Amino acid sequence: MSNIIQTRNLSFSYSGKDKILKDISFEVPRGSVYGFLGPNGAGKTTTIRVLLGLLFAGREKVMIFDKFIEKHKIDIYKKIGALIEQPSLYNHLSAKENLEIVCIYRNMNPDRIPEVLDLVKLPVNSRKKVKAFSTGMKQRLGLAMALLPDPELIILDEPTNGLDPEGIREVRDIIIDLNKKKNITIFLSSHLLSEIEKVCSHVAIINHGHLLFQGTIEHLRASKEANYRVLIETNDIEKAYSLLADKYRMQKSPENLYANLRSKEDVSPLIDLLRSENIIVYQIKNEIESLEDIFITLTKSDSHD
Amino acid sequence: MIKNLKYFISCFDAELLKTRRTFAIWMAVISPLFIALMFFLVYLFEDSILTMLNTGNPWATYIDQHYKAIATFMLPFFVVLLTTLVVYTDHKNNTWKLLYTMPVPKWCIYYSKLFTIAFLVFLTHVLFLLLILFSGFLLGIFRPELGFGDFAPAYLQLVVTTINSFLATLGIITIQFWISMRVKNLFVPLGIGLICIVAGNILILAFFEEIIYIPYAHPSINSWEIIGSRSIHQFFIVNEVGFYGLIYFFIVSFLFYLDVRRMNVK
Repeated sequence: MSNIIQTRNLSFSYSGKDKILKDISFEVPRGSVYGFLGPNGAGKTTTIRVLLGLLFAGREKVMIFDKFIEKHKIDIYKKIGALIEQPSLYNHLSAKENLEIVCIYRNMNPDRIPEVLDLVKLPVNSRKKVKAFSTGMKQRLGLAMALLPDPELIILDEPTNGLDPEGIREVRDIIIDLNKKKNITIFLSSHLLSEIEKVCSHVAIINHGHLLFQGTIEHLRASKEANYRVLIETNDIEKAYSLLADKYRMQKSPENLYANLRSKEDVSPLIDLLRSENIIVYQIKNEIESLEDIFITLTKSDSHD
Repeated sequence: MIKNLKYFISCFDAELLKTRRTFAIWMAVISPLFIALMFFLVYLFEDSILTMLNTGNPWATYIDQHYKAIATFMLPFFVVLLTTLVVYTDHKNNTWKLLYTMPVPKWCIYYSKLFTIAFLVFLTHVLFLLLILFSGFLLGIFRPELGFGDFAPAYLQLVVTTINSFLATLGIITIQFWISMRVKNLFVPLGIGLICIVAGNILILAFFEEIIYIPYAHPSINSWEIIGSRSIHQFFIVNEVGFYGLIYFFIVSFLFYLDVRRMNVK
């Protein structure tokens, strides 16, 4: 068994209206930190709810630990810790009491409570009600709840949402630690590529309910090397743009003009074309795309259809 | 079977822990205290009580008056409020997604909550019973001329009345529980409950026997012991109303569960 989560052509819509998820298939390998990346409203939370069986997307669509979620919920939930959107906390109770509730449902000994509180850096013997917690403390308590059963898989939906930079770093360190030391598989969603890049080994990109990419981070970078992107410096950006736009995928800003070529073999014909219209070329420079650019190009080009 | 029982006990235990320090719990304690205190003060200071009780054993009247006072409105409204509040805890805190990803069956989440509400209403009744006894004994000491000290309390009547009063609330609990599970709001279930209680009490005046199927009228029917134009049937301890309350609680609740089960968890 190498995949912890597996989905097959997952589609979902609320009461037959527009589909929120369209034909999503992906695999989360055991031991990976899997980043689920997409802009807000792309379908990340819906996907997570379907994975957890909170929303029903049809039979034999989602497999976790090699079992279909709709048939083996209880067995699967025993080995999963999850944090979906805002943490689910009882505001009128203390942190310890919230964790006790989870212990009771999971039929666990409450011995582990101080350990997980310590792990997320919350005071063990505080009687403070959750109501009085800051957003960061609530998020960390939510994380503690997910960690309580010593799970094999942790599913986190936007775990750094609403946290300050310090809080974001702490959560990130906890995630990396859990993965490295305990070999826990982690599935986390985010709309920030910079976050995913720092912690994840694998990434899937979703937009408008479509899966645009899945693979390792290196794979994502490599896949885009086929795209040879150049910066063109000329005396007439407008003219050059209208000339080249028919033939190449172009982008322009007031100062710069970019062309996305298939390879460097395309550079000479491009210069010839510009010269044939008497446009002066000062410089043509290869631009290495950052992951952020890749993400934006992917999600933008998808929004055209 | 044993496994299912274990699941249920865990869920029930967790539900009880969740009610800690909630308004619902305070209400469950304060409501019977308030009523018992009012009666105690009236019996202690009001002169006309003496003429009313001149027939001898005061306990039967004392117990009867307590339960008649709450049956028409206070008790059903208390039940509606308590049910709404207990379910609303999970709406307010957005905890359904936590509950439904715990390794317990779905029916357990539903039934443990329903039983918790019934259990709280039962505890309130037990507290009410004890308070009636206690205040009666105090009256025996502080106003001996009423005769509370001269007679033994009507224990059997007290227990039977308490049990039937509790059973008469089960139908309301079942329906209000379903509405509260469906509506993610505090005021809609309360409003519906309030309207139904008033409607139930008005329909009693129409003297038709089918009123027994309307749970919101159960506490009143139970206290007047009249259904339509006939008197209520008694099976050993439990009366007809209690019997229908149990049917609602154990059978109709299952139909509601089938509806709640297929809801998406948002």
